[in-house]
Amino acid sequence: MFLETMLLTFKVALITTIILFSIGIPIAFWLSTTKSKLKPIFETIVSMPLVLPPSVIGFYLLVFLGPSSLTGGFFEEYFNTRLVLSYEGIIVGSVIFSFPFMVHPIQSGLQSLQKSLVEASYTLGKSKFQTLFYVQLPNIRASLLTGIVLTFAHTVGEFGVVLMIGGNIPGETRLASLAIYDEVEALNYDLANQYALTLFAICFAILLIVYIINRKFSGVLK
Amino acid sequence: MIEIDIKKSFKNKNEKIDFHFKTTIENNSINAIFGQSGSGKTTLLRLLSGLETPDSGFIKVDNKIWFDSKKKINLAPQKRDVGFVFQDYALFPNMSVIQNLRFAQPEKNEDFLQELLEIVELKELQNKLPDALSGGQKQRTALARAVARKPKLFLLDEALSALDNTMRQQLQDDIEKIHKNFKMTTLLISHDIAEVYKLASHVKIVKNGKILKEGLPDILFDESKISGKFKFSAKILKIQKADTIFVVTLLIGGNLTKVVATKEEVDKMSIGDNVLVASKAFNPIIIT
Amino acid sequence: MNRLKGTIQKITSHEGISLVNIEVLNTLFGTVVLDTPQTCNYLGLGKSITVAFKETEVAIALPNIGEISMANQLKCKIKSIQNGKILAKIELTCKGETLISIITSNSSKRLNLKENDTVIALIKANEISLIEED
Repeated sequence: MFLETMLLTFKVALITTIILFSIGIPIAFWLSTTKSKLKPIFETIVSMPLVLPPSVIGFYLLVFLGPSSLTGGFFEEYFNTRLVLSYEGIIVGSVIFSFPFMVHPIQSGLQSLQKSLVEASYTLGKSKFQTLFYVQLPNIRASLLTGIVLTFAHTVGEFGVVLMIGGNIPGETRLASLAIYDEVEALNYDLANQYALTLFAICFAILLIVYIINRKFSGVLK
Repeated sequence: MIEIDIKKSFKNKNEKIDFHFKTTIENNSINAIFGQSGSGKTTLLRLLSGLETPDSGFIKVDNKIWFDSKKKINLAPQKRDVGFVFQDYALFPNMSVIQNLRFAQPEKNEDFLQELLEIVELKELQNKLPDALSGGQKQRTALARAVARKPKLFLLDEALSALDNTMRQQLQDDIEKIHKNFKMTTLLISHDIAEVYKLASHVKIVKNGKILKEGLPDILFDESKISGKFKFSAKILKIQKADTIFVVTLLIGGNLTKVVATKEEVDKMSIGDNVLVASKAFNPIIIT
Repeated sequence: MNRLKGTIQKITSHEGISLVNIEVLNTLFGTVVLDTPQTCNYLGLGKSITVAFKETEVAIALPNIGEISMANQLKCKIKSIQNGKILAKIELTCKGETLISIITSNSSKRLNLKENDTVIALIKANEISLIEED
């Protein structure tokens, strides 16, 4: 049970991070370049998970993704996937909840990159896409790494949203943070400690590696 | 030939600045854009390269339209076939010297790149990352990178102003060599009269967003309204009293000189001021 | 630098060099410049112009000088003399305009210059620059 829960936790975090990495880059790119008057609204939406209580997000996700809702019904009908009280549901919840942790570092990385690098690439005939992949992203590696790690760690540590939308089903939606709570409730302090210590050690190791790598990057890129 | 007639307005705090550039540029010529900071020199280059869009007008390059507000044509910078050298080098930090050059080429032509590296004397350093290079080496890389795709129009935005005198002269030689080899139509912004004389065949003097005067480099001498032909821009380094007069130490093109002045004149000067030093052509002696 | 306003009266050009005659303080000044009306737009008959020359290029003579090659002569009054160890700064007035001459203290003493003396200020033709009026 312990191993299963831990594996599930990291699997959810990994998938969430991969999804957010691939959608976070285009969104951060758009936010960093747009001159649209709607930009503040989009920035607010992206940042909302930072300030909202997780239970609020969890509640609305339940409402909007439940089988009787339009989106929930659609997924149930055409993809045979239930988005609440399920593994897929906690992925969706985590993606939404960790959104700013991926978008913010990438956006600020893109914005703080020397403007002339992008302009130089454009005058050299390179498209926006080529410029993003060959010039901008390789030069904001530190920001990308920060985004990945924050997203991953944040998903691992998430409690409220996962509880609301996942429903704490062992082996399917019960993640480590929930397991700790359960074990404490059941007065299984040893097991709770095992979860807690493992999470602590892994998170510590990840962050440590990131800081070491980041120092190398910043050494290369001044 | 390049024909330009473009307008652009900027709002700067409360002030509205209107740029209007109307001129022609001959093919294969080196043109210097001369003028005070804030006069619109950089804006002209950015409008030409497509990094900024004019409000109205047209840019025509050998009968090809790059921009025409009436016909609603506006080629993206990618489509304009320019080489732009930025003041801050703008080298891609993640790529080595040779990778920066390769990135600029639409079709691989390694021989040409090696020839370019030979011209700017960077062959030995081609595998170094930009951060390992000196200012002059960086700007030479940027120069070579802008040429790597053999652009129609070569634009240099105060490319040499951040360099010290020796470096500057070497870069000037490089620009000359590059032009001799590839004959690209070149526009370069410069504050340095000597530089303009050395490199340019044409000069355009820009003031308040307009081309005030254009022609041979000789027109620069009319700019300062004094008839003396022995004229230099100089920086005041030191002012010292000597008997009933004062001795002003000046930096002119990397050389120290001294000029005497009266108290009344010195009262209007401060250390660090940029001034014009003039004398009649009759006074200096030439030692060969 | 001494600056005096004047009006161009005559321009004689030859092979890129011009002799320009300018009326300054009712006196006709001459100066030689490496310009012609074709190369320089402020060289034109009747145009107002400022003549400029360095204080150290102004020589001083007592009124009874004989013939001398320097044609640019202004009759002035000495307003003040500031004697240094080596150089003397002499402030002159001429028809309400002020100009300054810097000569050696020795010469100042040799001529026995005093305030309110009438003297002739002499400026060599090739030392005069022309400045366009704004």
